[in-house]
Amino acid sequence: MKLKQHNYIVPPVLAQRLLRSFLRADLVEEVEGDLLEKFLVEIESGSHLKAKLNYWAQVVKYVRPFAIRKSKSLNPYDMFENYMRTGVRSMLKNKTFAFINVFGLAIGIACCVLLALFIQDELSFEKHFADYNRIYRLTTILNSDNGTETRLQRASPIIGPTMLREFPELENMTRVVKDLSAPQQIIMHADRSFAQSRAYQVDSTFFELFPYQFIEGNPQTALKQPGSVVLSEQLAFKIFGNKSALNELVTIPTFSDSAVLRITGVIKHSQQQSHLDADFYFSGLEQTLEPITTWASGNFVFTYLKLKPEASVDELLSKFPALMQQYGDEENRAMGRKKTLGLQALEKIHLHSAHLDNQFELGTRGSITYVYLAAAIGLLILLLAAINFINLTTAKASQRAREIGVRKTVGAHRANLIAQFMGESVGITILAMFIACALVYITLPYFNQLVQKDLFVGNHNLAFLIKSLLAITLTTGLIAGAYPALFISSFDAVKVLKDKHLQLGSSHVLRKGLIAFQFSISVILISGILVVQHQLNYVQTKPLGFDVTNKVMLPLRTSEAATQYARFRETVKDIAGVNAVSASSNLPSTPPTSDWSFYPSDKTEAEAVNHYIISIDENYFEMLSIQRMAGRDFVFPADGQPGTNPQKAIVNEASLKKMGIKPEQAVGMQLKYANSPNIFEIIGVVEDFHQFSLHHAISPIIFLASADSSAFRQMIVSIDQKNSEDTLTKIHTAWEQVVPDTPFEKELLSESISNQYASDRSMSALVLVSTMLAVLISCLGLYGLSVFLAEKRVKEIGIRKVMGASVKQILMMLTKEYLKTVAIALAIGIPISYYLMQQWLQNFAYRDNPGLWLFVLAAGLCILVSLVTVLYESLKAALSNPVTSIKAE
Amino acid sequence: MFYNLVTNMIETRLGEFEEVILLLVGILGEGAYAYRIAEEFKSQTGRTVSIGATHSTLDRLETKGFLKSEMGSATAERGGRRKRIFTITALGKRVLKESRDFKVSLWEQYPAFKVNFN
Repeated sequence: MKLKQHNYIVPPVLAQRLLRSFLRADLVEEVEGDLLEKFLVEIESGSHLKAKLNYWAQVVKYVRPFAIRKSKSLNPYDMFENYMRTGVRSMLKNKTFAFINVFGLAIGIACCVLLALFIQDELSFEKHFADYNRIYRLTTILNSDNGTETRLQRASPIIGPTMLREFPELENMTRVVKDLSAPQQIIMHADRSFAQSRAYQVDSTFFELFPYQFIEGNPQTALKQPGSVVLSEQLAFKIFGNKSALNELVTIPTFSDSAVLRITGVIKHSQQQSHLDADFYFSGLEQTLEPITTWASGNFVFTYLKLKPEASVDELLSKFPALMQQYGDEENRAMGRKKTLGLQALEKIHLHSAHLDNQFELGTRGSITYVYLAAAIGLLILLLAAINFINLTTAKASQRAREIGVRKTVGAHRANLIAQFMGESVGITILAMFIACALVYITLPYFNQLVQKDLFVGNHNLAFLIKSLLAITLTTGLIAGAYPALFISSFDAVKVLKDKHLQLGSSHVLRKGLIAFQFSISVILISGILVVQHQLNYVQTKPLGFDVTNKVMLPLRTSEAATQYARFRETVKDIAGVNAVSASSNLPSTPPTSDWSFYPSDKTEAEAVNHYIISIDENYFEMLSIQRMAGRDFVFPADGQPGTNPQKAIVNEASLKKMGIKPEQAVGMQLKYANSPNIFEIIGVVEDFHQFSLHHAISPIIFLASADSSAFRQMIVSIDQKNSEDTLTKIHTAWEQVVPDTPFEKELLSESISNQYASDRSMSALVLVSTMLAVLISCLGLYGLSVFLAEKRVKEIGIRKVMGASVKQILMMLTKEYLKTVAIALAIGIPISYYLMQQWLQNFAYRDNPGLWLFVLAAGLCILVSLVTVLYESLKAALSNPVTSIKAE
Repeated sequence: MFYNLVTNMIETRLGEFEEVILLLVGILGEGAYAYRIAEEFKSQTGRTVSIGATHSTLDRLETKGFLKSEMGSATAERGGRRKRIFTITALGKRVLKESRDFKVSLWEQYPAFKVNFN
């Protein structure tokens, strides 16, 4: 009775099946018996559900090494050896294909690794400072009443200290100032002088926020005394060699005064980078800035705030408007503008500053767009190589068909075959990886030139390099191997063994799709590089509105050089081969020194227009061939006397347009600025010229004649082309006589202007190289396929020829297919390229929109390249003797 | 000492759980099979253990040479399936005894319990 009752209840069938699926055969009887007994007891004592669940649990708990059925194969190494051997054999049999695969993948991996190094370097900025995520830079947005907005990464000097005093959220604050007018700063020691590009005056708290490592000196006290200076390791070595630099005296000649500074520290050189890295930092900024109490202007101070650990950024930000209202409202209103303060996280400064003014940035800015571009290019090239692998492997699959058939017959599971082919592709990628390592080693110096960096493999990035290398290799191997492995392992064993002439290839659509994709990428890159070159060419040849030929710029870096300018000018004028000499506070292509908002005296300050102010010496317009539209030129020295009111001024066309003045009415008009009693009278108008690079629209400029040479920052000399070297040597000698304490420097004006496009050229070079690589890889793939397809159709071609087909007809037949695919690729690629290039061109205020012909040219190039690639094999096939091809079986 | 008796590399020390299982096999005598041992373990210690875990330990003890086993006779409760009956070997008994002696010797050296222990 009892037994019968039990018969209705059986343990869960699925669980039993699971048990049998893994359990060792010799254990099945006893284990099933034990579990059944347990199950029945559970049923007796409680619910069926509980008993069934318990049964499941018991089954799962039998998954233990001792109970699991052992795999039949005791020694798998024979099998692996066999896999290796067949893999190597098939590579040797198809050397062309193996070469294309390995070489293509190696290029792809090498590109990825190089770009990964670049990206890691770009992302590493500032991250080595302790608490970097609590440090922010103060930003300023100025909205003038006439609608112009200026976003600055700087602020007024008084704001930082006030915030530190009033906001409990802040832990510390420091400020940094650099001499805005001088791209280089001179430092002198014992009659030797050194021009350094990065020199900052900082608050005494600087090393508290930014804990640089010191070789000599104490970071806590280094900047406490005014008149202290901390040098970089390189600069200390340059000046003192291996001797200690501590407590030595150096002189910094600036325009204001010449300061003698005591060296209180030397900073250790580090691989970790910051936008604040400099050649030297000197103290005393608190004292320098103390008298400046404006809340509205004087936005030249880089201010860094450190928050307390628990403080919230949003809360702090919400207090800014009230602070600005309290202290600066009146002043700002008087200037006709609104000033908004903001914060920028320290770690974002290097890559995410594009929205802020770039004129005076500390350090060299990177660009997040550039980082994305690099990542995209690396992945694209690798993808193209992986596509080659997929296409060639599946196309050649029929060669392996018999092997698959035999393996399946002998008992290989599909999973075994998938593992075999995946393993093969990973093996090929690993081979490619070793070649890639060699490629990286060889090309790193060139790559550094390309991206303007100093990357090298060392302790700081070795771990990252190895990790990324392995990750890239394995991912590529698995992705590239997945489809071929699935495809090849799906062959039907009976069919492939029985049918001798069975042609197995991957589906035509997929292969064509992949080729179309490759060529879309190629055409995007080709047209991209054409547009970039076109624009750069335009930028460099566009008439700038002034004459740059045979002009030499001599920077006047020190007060000595500036004050001695007049004397030096007279000496230089007399040198044979010198045509004219002039000077300016701000030659074209140099950063502006000052700007102010002017308005016509019959209007109100609310209508003021921001102008760059440039002080010039005589002959300036004449020597640069800047054309005058109205009025007259300055008369020296009468117009340049200091203290004359109204002061004579010349403006450019853009200034008149912005202020709404007609050129014919301009002469005699009076301009005012702020509440100053000074008045400027327009005596002439010059035509617009490109003072700044073509990235920027032409801005209003006001020129003032200056008899006082201390305002000048650069001197310009027009020399004869003939014997120019000789003339320059004479100028150099004259300089050393008149200005012995300042090093002589010279730069051609045309070079300085061309340097404004250095970053564009560097991008162009990167795109050019990646385009060539992408096209090379695509063509390798296409070539491989054309070899394969020509081989496959060799008999067909033979028969066609026997039947009377001409070589031309056969060529047409063979190439038509590729051309169709390439045409589809062009149809997809060109619109994308057009869109992308329009985006890039937005960076330029002056651009020459690429005509359609550029894209037609790109398409033509693409077709030509693909045609040349397939033509060789096609021609070979078409010319082959039909007798040999038909006879061979 | 007995370590030398076992020539192969199999681990011969006795874990706590292993020792209990070994003792239970001894206690249960003719009725020592995996399910029964698991039940006995539960009733003796109050801790539940899966049949799989018990079986795994029995298997390990057998490999170490402390147990031997053979298939018993069929019974109706188990759908006619036979049981695997485990019995302690001479080596197993010796290991148990050594383990006890070792512990007793430790207890005797423990001053706080020395008096109570006798």
